[in-house]
Amino acid sequence: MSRRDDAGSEDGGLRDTGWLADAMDAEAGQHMPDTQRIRARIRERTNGAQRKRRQLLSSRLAGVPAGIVAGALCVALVFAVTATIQQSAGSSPSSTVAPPPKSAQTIVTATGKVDAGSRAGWSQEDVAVKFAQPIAGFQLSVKVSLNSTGSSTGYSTTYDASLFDVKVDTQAHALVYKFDLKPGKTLPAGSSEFAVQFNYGDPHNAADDTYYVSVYTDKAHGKVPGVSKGAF
Amino acid sequence: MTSRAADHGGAARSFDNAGAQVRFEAFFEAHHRDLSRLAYLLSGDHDAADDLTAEAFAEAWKRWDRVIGSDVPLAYVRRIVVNLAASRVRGLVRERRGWKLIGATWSERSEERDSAAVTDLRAALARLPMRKRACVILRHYYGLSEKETAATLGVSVGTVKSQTSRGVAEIAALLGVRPGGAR
Repeated sequence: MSRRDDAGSEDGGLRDTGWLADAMDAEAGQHMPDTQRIRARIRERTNGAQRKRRQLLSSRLAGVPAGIVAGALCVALVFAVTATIQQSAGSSPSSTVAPPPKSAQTIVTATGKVDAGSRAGWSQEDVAVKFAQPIAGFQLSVKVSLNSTGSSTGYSTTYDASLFDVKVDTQAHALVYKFDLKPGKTLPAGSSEFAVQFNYGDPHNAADDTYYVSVYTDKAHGKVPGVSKGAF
Repeated sequence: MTSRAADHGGAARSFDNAGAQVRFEAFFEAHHRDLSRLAYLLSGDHDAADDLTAEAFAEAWKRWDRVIGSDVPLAYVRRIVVNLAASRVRGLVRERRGWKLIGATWSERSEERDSAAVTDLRAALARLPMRKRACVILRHYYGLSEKETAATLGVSVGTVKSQTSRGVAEIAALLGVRPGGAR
């Protein structure tokens, strides 16, 4: 995405607005779109529009008085043609929003736990992921909530780490780790693990920490999306 | 899409529906994540963001010939997202969360000038009226020019300038940011 061009140059006393772009980047990164849900909603909405048009057509035709049928024949024809056109225009983009296979729900399963090696002031949280099919798109986000100060001390994965772009955002009250599978890379079906490690100042409640895994299968398996999320 | 299809809208598209679906799918795959994040910044709610995105793509599909025939299809759909956000956010968030939870976060307090400091950007954005919020997001997250932002929102460049400037200043004040970015 092109961004942060000269957007900050006109803001008076706050000329350096890089902080704002960074903050918005971090905030936007909190949102992991649920592709499957979006597709389902599109289908719902486009099909719904189609049904409404059909209902509207029925009610319109039902309202045509029988006594003027002859005169209305051409009108009815116009209605019919219009309806056909409208329904074509309103048809659902079926290839895009076809219901995902039932297996979509189980493409990925993930569980999070606090690693047994954690101690006061330092913790490791593990996310175990399991893929039912080969994966071509993968993003894992782990958000560690902090009461006050805290800092990342690292992360790891049982995969070859070079497969991923990893980013750690240090925010006011959170650390956000993101593992993005690099374009063109795939992950085989099976199990693996990711870990994040951090120091913290005040007492830390792992139950406030969350993970979100978003994937889609490779092309041979239909690019089926899957999501798994939870807390530690 | 052919220019003929673009000229004749839905009727012509019915002859080329398969091609339209392929392009729509490619467009969806390329842009839905980004647009959903825009919707999230505008709405402050994860579920509402995905719903807004879905609604925007459904709208885009209904007028796909116009979308794909426009100079910048992404700009067209981005405009749909922003317009939907302006009109639908309250309802969507309300549906998802119920009234009680909204009170302290989004929309109903948008116009208030509550001087109490907030600690995160989401809460700060929530204090801005939607148009000002959209100006700040489109300029500083998307990096759109003032002209592009004005076209997206259907307002003048002057309005974009003033709304953005005030919006940034208000967010900075709420977050306790001083010129130069220090907190």
